Amino acid sequence: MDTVSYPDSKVTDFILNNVIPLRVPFDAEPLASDFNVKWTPTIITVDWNGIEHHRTVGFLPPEELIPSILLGLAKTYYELDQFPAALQALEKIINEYPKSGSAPEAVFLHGVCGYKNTHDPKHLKQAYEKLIAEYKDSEWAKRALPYRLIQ
Amino acid sequence: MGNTIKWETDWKIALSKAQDEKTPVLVDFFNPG
Repeated sequence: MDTVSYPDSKVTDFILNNVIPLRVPFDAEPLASDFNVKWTPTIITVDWNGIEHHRTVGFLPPEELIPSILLGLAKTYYELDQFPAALQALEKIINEYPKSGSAPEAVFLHGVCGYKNTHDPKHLKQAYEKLIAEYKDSEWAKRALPYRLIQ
Repeated sequence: MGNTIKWETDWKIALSKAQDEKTPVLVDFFNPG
């Protein structure tokens, strides 16, 4: 991460503008135990109350790290019921990083957030249709299968 | 020379900043070697 991803100018700018970056050794207590850290790098997104919402383990290149952080932001806002902010982060993944590993989950969560924000189930059906069309082999396409029945 | 990431190293300070800015914290548990 130190030689490839963090020095990347897009990654640096993204982190500086979107999160509070905190770096601690993997064995720093009590944090390592509190967050059950077993391997490095472990990158966790927590909200301003210290509650975890997303984690990744292992190296991510720049083109995967930015969408992964965006997914962490989206899951944070989603779990805090801040759906417009979650949708904004998810749309950035879907539109700017459609080939990233985070994209299928972003499409799924976009459908869920859209539904919870409007109570209109069409968002779930749209998520299913996009997953089948663009990410049919992903686990998120399988998880969205029930939404095909929505009229 | 471009920007570099200015990492916080203290949990309480990072969380305090996060609360002030209502911004999530990205915590990188790394191996210092």
